[in-house]
Amino acid sequence: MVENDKLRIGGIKYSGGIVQANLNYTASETDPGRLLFRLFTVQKINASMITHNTKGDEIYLSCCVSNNDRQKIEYPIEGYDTLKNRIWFREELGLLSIFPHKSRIHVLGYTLKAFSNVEIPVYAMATSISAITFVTRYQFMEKAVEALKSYFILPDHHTPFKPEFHVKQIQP
Amino acid sequence: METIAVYWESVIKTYGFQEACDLVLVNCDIREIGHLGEVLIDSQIESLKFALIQDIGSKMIFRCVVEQKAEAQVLEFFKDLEQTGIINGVNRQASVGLITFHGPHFGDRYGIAGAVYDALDGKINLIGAGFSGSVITLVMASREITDAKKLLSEAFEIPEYV
Repeated sequence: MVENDKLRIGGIKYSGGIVQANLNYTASETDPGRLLFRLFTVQKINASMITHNTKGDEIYLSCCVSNNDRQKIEYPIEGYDTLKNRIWFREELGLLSIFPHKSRIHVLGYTLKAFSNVEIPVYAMATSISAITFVTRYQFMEKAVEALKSYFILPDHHTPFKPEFHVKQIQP
Repeated sequence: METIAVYWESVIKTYGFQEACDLVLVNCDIREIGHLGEVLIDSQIESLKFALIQDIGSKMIFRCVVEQKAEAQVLEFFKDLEQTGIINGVNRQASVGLITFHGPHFGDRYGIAGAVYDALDGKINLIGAGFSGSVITLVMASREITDAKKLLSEAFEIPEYV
């Protein structure tokens, strides 16, 4: 794509390493999803990205948490029949966000095309009022940023791609 | 570098709370994201309200919420793509609503998703949801928006607009 045709965006950010915890259940069950989120609260786990899809009677929940928090999920769920042996994990992932996207569907389209061109997988994606966030392999973060430059122009003094500090909440 | 912060309130503060009704949800299963990307580029659809992709292992789900005026255009593009086999199971759901809100450090603190699901208490049929950064987007039938807002106001400080 020629430079003049590229879309202008404000920035790209990617996270540290995460795992994705996935839970599928039916609407007729007594909400294992709520139980999982209560477990997150008790264990002080922040889910940096969540996607929820209901199709018919089936509910699909994907929650991204930091690598360090995986054990805080795996061991406690053994004590819950509704969660035990039901949560499956994807490992070595990261979040990549593009902002702002200003409701332009082209930003989403070109991003998917850029990732597809270099065979970068997408495990989840959600738009928000300001950004589009993708879950992909952590090892491909820099490759993804380079692929995006084929279609997008960043400001000269854009913010760093990788976070320089991390905010973590503790219980007061 | 890690910064430790303490932030706790009995009713969780929000910075903005928006709702939209009478939208249209378009769903499909996708096999390959590149072709989906090309369709989205060519579609020239204005005002994408919300979109989700989720790889559930056996398939990838794509969902987008658009304004009613864009429905015919979106469906036409997706039906054309369905002919190629890249996607399947295209369907739409009308009278869909969105609730979108965000708050301080929602993306950094624990307990926010739990507060949302506990507040809704299984009383709202969530069609979809995205918790991304500090923004939460909930998709439901338009007729449930008012009830959902009332339930969420028990846990979240919803600003009143004059």
